[in-house]
Amino acid sequence: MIDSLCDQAAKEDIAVAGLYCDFVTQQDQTITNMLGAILKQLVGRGDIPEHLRDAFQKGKKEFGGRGLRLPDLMGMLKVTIASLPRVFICIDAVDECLPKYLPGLLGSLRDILQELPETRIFLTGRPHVKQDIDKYFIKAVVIPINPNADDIRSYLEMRLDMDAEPDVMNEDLRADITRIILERISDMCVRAFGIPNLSNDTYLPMVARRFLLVSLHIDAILGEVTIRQRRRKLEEMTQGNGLGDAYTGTLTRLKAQQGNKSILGLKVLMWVLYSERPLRAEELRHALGVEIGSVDQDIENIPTLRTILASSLGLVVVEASSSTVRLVHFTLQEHLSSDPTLFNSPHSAIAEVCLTYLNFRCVRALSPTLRSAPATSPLLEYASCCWAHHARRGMTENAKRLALRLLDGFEEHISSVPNGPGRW
Amino acid sequence: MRWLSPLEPSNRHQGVRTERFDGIGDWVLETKEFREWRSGEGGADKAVLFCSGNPGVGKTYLR
Repeated sequence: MIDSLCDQAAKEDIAVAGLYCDFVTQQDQTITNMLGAILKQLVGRGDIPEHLRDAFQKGKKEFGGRGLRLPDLMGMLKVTIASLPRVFICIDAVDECLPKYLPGLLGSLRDILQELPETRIFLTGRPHVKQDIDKYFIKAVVIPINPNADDIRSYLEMRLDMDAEPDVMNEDLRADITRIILERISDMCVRAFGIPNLSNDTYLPMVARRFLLVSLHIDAILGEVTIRQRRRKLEEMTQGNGLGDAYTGTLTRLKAQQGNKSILGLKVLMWVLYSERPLRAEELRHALGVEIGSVDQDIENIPTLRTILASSLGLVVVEASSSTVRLVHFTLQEHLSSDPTLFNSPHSAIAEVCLTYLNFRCVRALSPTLRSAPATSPLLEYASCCWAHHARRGMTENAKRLALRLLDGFEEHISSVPNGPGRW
Repeated sequence: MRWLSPLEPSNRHQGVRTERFDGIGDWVLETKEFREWRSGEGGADKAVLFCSGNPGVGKTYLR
């Protein structure tokens, strides 16, 4: 989108600024940072305008370099936009913006439009964010994006053109790959309707992930080294094993990662697969930061969300609407569960983490009269509610020791209170 | 310039650009809605365009 506008920008006199909201770095995406990034691009085309230079000098003196305030930034942004012929602002994935910043961002854009109605704003996001957009822009025009068969066909053609081993391909195989994957993809979507207990919520994003499935399929096929083997892989796919192979391949790569990345990647899968309910990103981060048996929380041992997602090689994703971490596709759950050797007693491992957490000095120091879990202890609720459940399914000597330590003086512990963490 | 914002959307944009495939999603550029928005004919009423879709359908990769 940005590029097609930029292509035209050379011909007509227009300016384009783009912004990607991103779940992973959303903490940095404050309103001023986001609007600042837009301003930066608009002025980046030429010399720094005088009014900006002045504001910068003034800001250095006044706020002691404390940074920009929103009203000042808005002022500069408006002056800059007004000085340009026509401005296009493109913001991708507005639904991944932190909810606390979204009203400010949309409100600022509305503000700009009211003063400068020539400005064009392009937004993308999941359908639910439309409600928020409507509050600010009554007349926003909506185009629903659904990948159609043509899109998938073009995607496949493109992938086949980029084949790293073009000698291991012939016309017939190429035609069959396109035909069979297209059939199989629509078939997979139809079959999913028949699966019981699948709520709309789980189903809808699944359909939308067709591109991702196509990508896994084609990876698996093109990963083979002879025409015969590629064809065999394609045939396996028609028998329903194709995705399984793609998962197996990804798991092999995951385990082959260097150092502790492979251990972290496997732990991530274990938690996502065996937790009692989907975990929020913060809960998972803190769970992965626990070293079993340690006496207190070590903030420096908590992995970042980016590392977590990277170490799991795309097999887990963060649902932005709920901030929970989930497997990329429900078929992966079946695949992982069917291999009992993948995890060595996952429930006892989870129980030991929960119990270690509840025994942390900083958690024990919490008053049992607190009405809600402090933000500094995001795993408290899950650990309080679920340690016993996991321990029942997998008890080790170590878990027993940790449980006894927790139960010793339990009446003083925050998780013992009737309306404490367990009931929040 | 960093004073304005630490964010660098152009980095992400380069990444998206290399992963994007030409021709996919181009139909959006042909829609009446897009063209009206693009040309500015509708004035302030047609100032905001929202492409909505579920995760993974390729919204980010619209050209």
